[in-house]
Amino acid sequence: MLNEKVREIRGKFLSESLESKVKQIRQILTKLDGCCVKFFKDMVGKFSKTASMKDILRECFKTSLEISGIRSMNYSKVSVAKLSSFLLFEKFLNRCEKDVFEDFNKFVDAITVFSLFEAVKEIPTWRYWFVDGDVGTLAGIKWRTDIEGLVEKLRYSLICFPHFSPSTANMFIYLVIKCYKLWKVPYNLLRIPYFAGLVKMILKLNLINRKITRSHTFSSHHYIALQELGRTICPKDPTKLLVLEYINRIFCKNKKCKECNLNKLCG
Amino acid sequence: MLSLVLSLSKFKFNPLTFVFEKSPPHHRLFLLKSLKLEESDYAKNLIKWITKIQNFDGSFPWDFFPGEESDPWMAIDTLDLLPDKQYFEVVRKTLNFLENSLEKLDFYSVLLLTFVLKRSGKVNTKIYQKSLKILEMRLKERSKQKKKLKIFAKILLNNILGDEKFERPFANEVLAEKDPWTLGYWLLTLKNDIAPSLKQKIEDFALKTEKKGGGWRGRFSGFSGTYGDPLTTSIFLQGLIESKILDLNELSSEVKRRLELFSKIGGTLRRKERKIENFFLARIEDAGYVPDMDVKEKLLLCFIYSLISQFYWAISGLEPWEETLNFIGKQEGLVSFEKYTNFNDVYNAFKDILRGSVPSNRIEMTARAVTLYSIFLNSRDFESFQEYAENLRHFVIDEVSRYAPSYGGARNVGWVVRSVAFNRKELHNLVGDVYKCLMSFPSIGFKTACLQMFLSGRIMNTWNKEIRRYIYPLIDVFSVSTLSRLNLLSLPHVAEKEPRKAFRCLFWLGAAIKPNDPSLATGLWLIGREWCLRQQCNKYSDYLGEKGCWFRNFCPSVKGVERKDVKRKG
Repeated sequence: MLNEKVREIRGKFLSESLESKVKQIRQILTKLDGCCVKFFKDMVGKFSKTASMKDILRECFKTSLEISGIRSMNYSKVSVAKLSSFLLFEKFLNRCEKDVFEDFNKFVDAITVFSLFEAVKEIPTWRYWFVDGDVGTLAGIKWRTDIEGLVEKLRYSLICFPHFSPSTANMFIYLVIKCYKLWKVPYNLLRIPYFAGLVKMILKLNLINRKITRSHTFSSHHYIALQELGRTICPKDPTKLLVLEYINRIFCKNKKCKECNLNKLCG
Repeated sequence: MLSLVLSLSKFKFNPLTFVFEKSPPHHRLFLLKSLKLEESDYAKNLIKWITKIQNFDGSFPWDFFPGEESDPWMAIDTLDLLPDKQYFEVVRKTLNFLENSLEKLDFYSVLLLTFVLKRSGKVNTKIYQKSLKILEMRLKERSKQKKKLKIFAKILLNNILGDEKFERPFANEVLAEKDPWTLGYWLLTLKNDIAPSLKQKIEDFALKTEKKGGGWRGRFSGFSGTYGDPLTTSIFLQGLIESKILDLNELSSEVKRRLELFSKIGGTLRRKERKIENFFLARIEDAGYVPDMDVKEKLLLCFIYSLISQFYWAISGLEPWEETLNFIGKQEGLVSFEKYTNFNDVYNAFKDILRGSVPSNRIEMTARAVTLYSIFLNSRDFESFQEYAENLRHFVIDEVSRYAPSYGGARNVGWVVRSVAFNRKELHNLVGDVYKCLMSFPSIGFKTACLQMFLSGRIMNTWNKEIRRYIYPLIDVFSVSTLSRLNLLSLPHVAEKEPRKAFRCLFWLGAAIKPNDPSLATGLWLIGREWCLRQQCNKYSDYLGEKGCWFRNFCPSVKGVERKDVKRKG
């Protein structure tokens, strides 16, 4: 059923005539991927060589909240360090022993249990109506131990934190796995975090004909469409699509079209 | 001469139909209170319901519905409804709860609380002084942060603090907002009569913004959607009544007519209670029920019976009791649960019964549900309902969740997880959780879960009588047909397609008839099945042994329908 839906979305968003254009875009994305990773890594900050995994995780969590947390929850005037989700994550980190951070399996199991029985309490009722299905799905996949299942579990566990949307969760995983390489995970399992600029770029490149909006759940059609697009363009590492956000921030916003690599393809 | 009052006939849909269909009990009570009908049996029964559903800590569940999460707004509303002297203990607990959670409340909740306390004459209480202080403090903080105040907040602040401290917004400013909620509060806090021209404007606004399914749109909901928002509708309607824009005589007589109809329905159903019980008892006895059965056997029997009865659409002439007996016979009785835990055996037995008329994936899901439920019964021990519910919650999270078939199933698991995280042990929460747990099983929807709980808890009396208060009545196309024939639904065709949309209407009707046992409204299901769906009001019912519908003496649709029947037969 889901496959049919995805196929439908794929058909809607990406026609066969675009294939050659996609090839060119793929090459540019691969070329700039390193710069993009460095760009987002710089957002988190610089760590000394003695920095522990705990510190890196804490800062990644903070940054992902800052970049793509849910604005509708009115925390723009409160510092991230005082947010309930950040305090919760701190509580979780303090509760974990050292060996938990070293083993991805153990870390995911710990955060799954913490999310299911601690973090869900902090989500206000009105917000829980959005994420109830995702929490249920997490309960259903908690027994999985394969690497794909583990990444999935981590993604669903993060959404149990208040102020977290699918894009915040994906951003955190991107920072932790691709930027800081805390654990070894195949990049094809990563998902694209939503950015308005990224969608703007996709529209400019005429890859889709309808706007994709920010989604609150993993089962949202817009979320599925964005991920499917990423998987179609870069099957081995869909997060390469984040380069478009990097280009938007560096070139488009500063109106440096002549220097932009996508200049010829841009509409 | 032009009439200066707004008649109900001018509305596309009667706003009262919306209130009695969709609104929770406190909104109905607000309406009755503003029409001075709070002494009616209907109002008394709803107040009884509200006082009984209070949580240990003094809070109330959202919309006073069993299984919902508690919310301070409900506690605030009860202060306006319950007379202090009569319900001293309930009010004391509520005030305690509000006082303890006062500092956690957001600005608008504190504002509403202070407004309600002032309106209900509790100005000299400690909590009023405390909330006033917090309100002023929050107000200062907001002005420092340069946060703009919404107009309805300005209206309430003016009412609390007076004209000197806070200016009252002008009518034009309020009308420009185009928000029934804001306008409702503005009308509620009126001090003088309104000018006729303004009255006309408000009338036009009320008629123009009415939703398709009745009521007015909520402040926080979008412009789309068929039905209005009960909370906004209640406030706006109260405002229209207080400011005498609506024709009060007409409104009052219409509400009285409805209350009379409800009391007639209640009287009939109470008289026929034994017959309703016997109808279901006879069916379940045919399926193999014996009164001295073990609790687990009873539960499994109800589970299988309700699962099979959902396939009435697939096989013409399917009799659930016959097929249940047939199915149980294939598994050599109910004594050994191990037979039911084998998926292949259960699947083959279902395949034989459903004779190829149901898709194989559906049969698979049904067989999976029976297997999972029997594993639960086989592996867990429980004696009371509380133990059963807690065990079932954990079982659903551990085992059933991986088979939660659809997004809906996963959503139910999500709510069960939250309940377990909070360790909720209120009886109404546990009953609500059991419904959610059952709906997490594959192939089980709301209707099947309702039937399982109704049969096990109400007909077989498996648990103590206390849980009867929270058992839902059966909702189906049969119940909807009766409700629509009684003119209680604003959009019957919508509810016919999705019977669950009419559930609240049925449930609150049950609670108002018998607050200790709202499942009595299942009588409407029975009437729908026997008479209403086929619109044959005088037909002889074989199952009930009675000629003619129980409601035919007062049902508003009887006459017209009988004529149609005659024509059809001719």
